[in-house]
Amino acid sequence: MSQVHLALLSGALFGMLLQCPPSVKATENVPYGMFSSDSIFEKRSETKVSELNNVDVTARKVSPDVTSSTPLQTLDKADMQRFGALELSDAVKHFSGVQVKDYGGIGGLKTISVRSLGAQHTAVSYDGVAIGDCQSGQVDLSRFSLDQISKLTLSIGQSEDIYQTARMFASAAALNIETEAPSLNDGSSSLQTTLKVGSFGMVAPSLFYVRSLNNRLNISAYASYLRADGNYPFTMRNGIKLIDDKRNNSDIETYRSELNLFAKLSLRQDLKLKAYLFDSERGLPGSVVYDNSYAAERLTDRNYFGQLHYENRFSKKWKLKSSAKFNYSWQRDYSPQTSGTTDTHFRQTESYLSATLWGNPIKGLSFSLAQDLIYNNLHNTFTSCQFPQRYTSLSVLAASYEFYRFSVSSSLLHTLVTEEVKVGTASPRRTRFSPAFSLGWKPFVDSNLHLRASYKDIFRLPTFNDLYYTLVGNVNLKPEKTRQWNLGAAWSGRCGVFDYLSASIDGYFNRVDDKIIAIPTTFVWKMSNIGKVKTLGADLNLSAEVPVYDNWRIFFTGTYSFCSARDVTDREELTYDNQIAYTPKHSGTSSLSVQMPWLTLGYNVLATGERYLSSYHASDTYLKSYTDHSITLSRNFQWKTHSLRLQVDALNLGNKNYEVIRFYPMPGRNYKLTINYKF
Amino acid sequence: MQMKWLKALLCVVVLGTFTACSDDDNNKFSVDPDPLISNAGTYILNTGGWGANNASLQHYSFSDSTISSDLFAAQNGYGMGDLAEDMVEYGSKIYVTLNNSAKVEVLDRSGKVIQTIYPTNDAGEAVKPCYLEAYAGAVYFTNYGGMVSRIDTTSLTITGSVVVGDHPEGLAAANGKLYANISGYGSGTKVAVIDVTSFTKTKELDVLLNPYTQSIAADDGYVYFISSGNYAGSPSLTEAQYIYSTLQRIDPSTDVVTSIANASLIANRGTKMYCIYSEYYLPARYSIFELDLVTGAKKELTEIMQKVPSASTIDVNPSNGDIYVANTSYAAPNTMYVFNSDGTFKTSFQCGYYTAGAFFAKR
Repeated sequence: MSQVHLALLSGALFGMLLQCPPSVKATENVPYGMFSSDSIFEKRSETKVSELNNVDVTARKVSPDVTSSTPLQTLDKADMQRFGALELSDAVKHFSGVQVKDYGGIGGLKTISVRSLGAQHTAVSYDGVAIGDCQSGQVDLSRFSLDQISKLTLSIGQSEDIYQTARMFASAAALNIETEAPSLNDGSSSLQTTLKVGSFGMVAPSLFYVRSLNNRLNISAYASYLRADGNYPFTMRNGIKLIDDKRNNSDIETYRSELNLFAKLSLRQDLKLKAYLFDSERGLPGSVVYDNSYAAERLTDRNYFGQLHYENRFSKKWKLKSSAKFNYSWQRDYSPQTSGTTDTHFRQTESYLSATLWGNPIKGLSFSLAQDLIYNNLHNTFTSCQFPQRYTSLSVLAASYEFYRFSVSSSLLHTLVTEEVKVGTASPRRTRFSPAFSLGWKPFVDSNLHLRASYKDIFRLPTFNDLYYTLVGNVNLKPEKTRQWNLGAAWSGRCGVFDYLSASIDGYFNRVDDKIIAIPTTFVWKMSNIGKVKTLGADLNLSAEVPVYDNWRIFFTGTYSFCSARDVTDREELTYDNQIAYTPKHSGTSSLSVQMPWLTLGYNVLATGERYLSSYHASDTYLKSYTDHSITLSRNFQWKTHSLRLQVDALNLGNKNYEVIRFYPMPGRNYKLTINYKF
Repeated sequence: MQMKWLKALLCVVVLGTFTACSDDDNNKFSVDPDPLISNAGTYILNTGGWGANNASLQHYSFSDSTISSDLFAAQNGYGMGDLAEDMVEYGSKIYVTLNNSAKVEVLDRSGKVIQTIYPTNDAGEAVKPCYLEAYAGAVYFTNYGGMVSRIDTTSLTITGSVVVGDHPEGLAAANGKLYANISGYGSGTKVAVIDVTSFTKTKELDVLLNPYTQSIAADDGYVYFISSGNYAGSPSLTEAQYIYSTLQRIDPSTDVVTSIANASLIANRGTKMYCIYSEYYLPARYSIFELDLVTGAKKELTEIMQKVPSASTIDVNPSNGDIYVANTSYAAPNTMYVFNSDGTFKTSFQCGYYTAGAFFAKR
């Protein structure tokens, strides 16, 4: 893939769009353009009075992905089913601008990095409240099952939705996970059972029960179990030697359960309560080491949290929302070796409180004030554990103004962090102001084209590992800073044969300063702020729906990302101006789904270009490109209130044990069957 | 109708462009049938990154000052493995310990594999080999199974093992005995003494905290080793608790241990010890110096210190006294700097990743 491909593709894209006629006049079909976020509406012609024929309004509300002044992508349940996704990471790979670091297998670590910034710069929120890990600073996506996830949203830069918690202003990008919220209000209930069976001994049953207790109270309960042997075969080359082996110690067993309570306290007040449990035990196969396939390390993860969400919509002009969360995480790392067995325990808690006030004093102008307080602490059984505690205060003042066909958003985040330790020295107190701006413009009245420009200055704090880990930690680490500039255009609408067509293109420039990396010294490594990165990139998204024949429908989505992220730390170094580690210059996804009355057939491709495993480029640090093809077949059956859905997926059709991370091969061709029954 | 299918075709074409990205498997190593090893030179062993499977062996030729590519890969067609800790040249063979790959490779002088030894403990589990010492017709090595094992140089098999303690590291032989540093993973305070003939552990010597990788049977007959201490300067210690990295000496006739000076890495030639001293938390103490073992005089090698701000290995050519020092590097391969015996700069060349050092044939 080269820049020539990029130019051709974007040219083709916009060439297609130029052929699309502008929205039709008011006297014919209802123009889709009328339902966008215009402040000024088209004047209707009043010169002629005629009777309109009955028309089918097949218009679709313009997706916020198009109107947003910062890049925004959404995947709903139907999209995720079309991709044949089992886990959250499978679905997330279909966003543009995203690299998922996948260590292979069902239990393997999977983290999301947006625009090469790294996993610690992406916030992950679950039903409005951030999921965090203060120790590693990254979220393992493999802990989320897609069963009850109804929507995934990826927002890059600062989302123009200013009615959010302060924490959602504190990252370079945010992945928002929303679970299914029951909409019943008539005392009824529904039960959904799912069974997934797949290769390498994977079995995953789950139950999702929703009940409306009365017209004010709904509850939902979810429970799932997952087990897999995970010991998949793989081949790998070491020069002329072929390694033909099976992953070893890759089994996993996970229990998940969740209880939600939705209460309508009054017409204006809502209360939501959630209790969540996650308990998992898995083997860590480790990386492939030549001539030594020993792996016996076991990891036990227990995570419990409770969150409360309250909203009061005082009036059309004022509303307040507040959240509280307590999170407890416990982890055990048990590693038997011939040199002795190590058994380490880790315990983290997080206490979180947030309140956001939103006001719309005059037409078009809204502002919000958000305040979050967070407390984190860590215990582990290392003799060098310093028992760190972190107190964070985040305050945001944000404003948004819409006039004519412009929308302007800006926000200012203030961060204050102080830390305490029981042993040794704590990291010094830090404060910082972080601004963000965005501008959206709809240049033509009768077209859905939106232009956008945005800027965000944000950072990530060093994690507890960065600061306090045995020897390697450095309490004097400064936060890792990022600055992002984005310029883009998005369009959606009908076009000729396409019932729905949507396209977006964003060009961006990022700078990372004080990047935290581990530097070797005589015997030991040391975390240091010495990295600098300059990134230039582009993200393209295309999606289309075409009705074919009588009741067939073709869905297509495609993404392409170009990312040139260069290490500009030190001009004297051999790594200067090289592409940074594990960042492909070119990557993309494609998904084609044909919906027929008796079967839906889907075909997906994930493609990642060549990359290097470090910013030192040589033949022994080169990783070649790979593609992952998969097919899904599904069928829905419905009678009365019962519905049955069957889905079969064949993944990695090419059967290549490609490596996302060097020496962690992915499974070859494998299959899944999903049975979902709802009544 | 035609337009509809044309547009559907465009989707397929777009899909197809992604499949054009895949490459065929390419064999990175090609076997080199003509080894270019001149007799006058030294071997450079590169440990490689942990889990990176990129350990390598090179040869630096004195006559034309050229550094070879990876000899092992060129001779055998595949990578040596993960974490090459140490090597020794004995007889006409080279013995290399690959710690994470849990094997000892026995090679000929061109790098071609003669035998691969996979050490195991009594339970048959693979153990990770660490440091080697060739002595009196056998090659010995410490391993993380807590043992010192003996390799017979004709059968190239392990003919005995003796349990010595937790995480044994550096190994040296003198006066019919083997001295193994029992690091205890940082908490050890002993050096185990093994009688070579009976191949049993006879006693343990009390030493300073954490006797680690450095252990040399020097030209003057003593065994010199280094205890790394407790990371003096660490914020969790008071100054009174600091145990600095210290060079100590064992008299192999009496087994008496004496402290000599502060040092972290050592190389010996005659009555001189070439030292790198580096404390992780106390960078002001960084020093590279020549220590006179007879008088105790220290001569700081300032030119070396300027050229190599973060030294990771030190070795000395027994023939002419040239000093070889490698610098740590973050992502790129290491650079080896060569200095004359008086400490003045001579030349430099690029090695592999995380160089273990320059290994000279014993005279």
